[in-house]
Amino acid sequence: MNLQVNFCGIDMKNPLTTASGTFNPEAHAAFYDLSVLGAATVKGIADVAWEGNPTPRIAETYGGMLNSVGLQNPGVDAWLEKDLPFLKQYDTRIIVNVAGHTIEEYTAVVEKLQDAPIDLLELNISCPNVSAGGVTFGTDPDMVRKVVSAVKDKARQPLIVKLTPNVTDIVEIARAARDGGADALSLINTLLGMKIDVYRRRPVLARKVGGFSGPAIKPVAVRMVYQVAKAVDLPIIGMGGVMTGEDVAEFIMAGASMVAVGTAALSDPMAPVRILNELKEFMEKTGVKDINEIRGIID
Amino acid sequence: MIETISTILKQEKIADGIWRMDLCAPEIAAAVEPGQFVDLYCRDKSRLLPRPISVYDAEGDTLSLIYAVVGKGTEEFAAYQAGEQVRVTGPLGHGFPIEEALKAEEVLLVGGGLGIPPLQFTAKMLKNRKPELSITSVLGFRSMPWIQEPFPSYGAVLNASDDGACGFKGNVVDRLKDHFSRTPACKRVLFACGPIPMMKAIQQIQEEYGLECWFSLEERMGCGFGACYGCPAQTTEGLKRVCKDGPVFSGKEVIFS
Repeated sequence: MNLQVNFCGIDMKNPLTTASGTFNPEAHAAFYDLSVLGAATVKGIADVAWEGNPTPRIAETYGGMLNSVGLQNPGVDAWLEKDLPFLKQYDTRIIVNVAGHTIEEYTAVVEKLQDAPIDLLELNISCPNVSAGGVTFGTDPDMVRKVVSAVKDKARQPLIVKLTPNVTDIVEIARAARDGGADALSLINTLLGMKIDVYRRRPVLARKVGGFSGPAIKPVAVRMVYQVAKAVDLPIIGMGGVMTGEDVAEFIMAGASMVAVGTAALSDPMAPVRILNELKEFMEKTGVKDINEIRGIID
Repeated sequence: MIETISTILKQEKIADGIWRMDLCAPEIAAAVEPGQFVDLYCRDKSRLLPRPISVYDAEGDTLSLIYAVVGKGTEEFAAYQAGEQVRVTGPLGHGFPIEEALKAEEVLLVGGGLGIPPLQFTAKMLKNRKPELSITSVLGFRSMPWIQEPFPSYGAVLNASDDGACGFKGNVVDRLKDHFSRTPACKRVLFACGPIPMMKAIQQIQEEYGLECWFSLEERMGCGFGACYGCPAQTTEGLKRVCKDGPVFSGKEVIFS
């Protein structure tokens, strides 16, 4: 059985990665050997430390959750010094999610990562929890082209652009990312959501709104991966509500080359290990010898 | 870190809206330290996130938890019967620094509401380590105390309640000041767990009374094991995670907003 995939010219031992923001190398390494991952995608890193948003930052919803963490991160210098060496102990590819409020902030991070031993960059123009950058860039095709092009100019690693589902036409945004020079796409980031505590008569999140994730959003994600895969000839990391090995197969059939496990790894820290085993069981059961043979098979 | 499916040994309502659940969880019971917590997971798959619950006691194979029914998840827990199973991970976080308390002349355990149960386990472990240690429990209630035993077996118990039903009208900070006015100054270590305003008020008097304080924080958590950054605490060393770096922080370090 072959699980190996090639993504932007890089061999991955299997198609599984983590979704940025739901993965912390040290916290998850207490539960499983990170070397099982095809790639580890780390939380968004900015040029300087970000404090994130006020609390409460988390709300549970039916079959999902809302978060308004707001890309709290230690900044790229501290990350390179402390977090990267930890991750390098493991035999897995490293994808760094890059955050910024402005084009200059994005390019500053990418420049500092030029000589770092990492495999790919993931440009976060889709976080709904920041007031500048993030999703404000990712919803305007002209802006997407501009920021992707500026970042691609400084990038030494292949550039994945992470897309937001909070748009009318995701294909238009995907094309803009391709035109800007993206090597790959990842989708979807969280949907903008809200929850009101009706007894207290106020929003649960301090920021009122936040990113909606979890199994409840999977049909939206599968639909968007399918639409983008049909329209744009770039490799895709599919994500959004992946809970099982069958979900991974579903995203691959929709056209994804790799699949990220996000919220599942918050409710079940060992989710990637379980999901990988389930994927193998699925392949065994349905006679799939090579994971690549089912990619994009849906007309 | 232990992730396991535990059998419920006992489930008992101990006060209005407050329940005690005893689990057979030998590995967690053996490893848990005072002030650490466990995550309980719902069986209803529409509820993804764990509920963090503090540890009331750990004895042999048994892990005892006291929790309040505050929403759908804890409502689900309260409906479980003895013999049923529940998914649990733990022990999680960093608890109270027992070694620091053992050096004190008096240890004050200050709890309010659902912050009281973890202090039982803390007092018990302190007594096990040093039977002659002077422990004073200062417990805050809205009205009549819903928990007392076994605190008197560890030392003095000073109750305080908003309506005076327990004999002292006022909050735990008033009760603490009253206690300090009646007893000679000495090396005091204080462990507190309860509402943020209570702990903030204690922090404000820590210097005046020469207290070495440690606070156990509560925050709405996501994953409960340090991955999601949903539960930040402001500290003098920047943001830390309540679930992983805490929930216990030094009174010199934590910044209450």
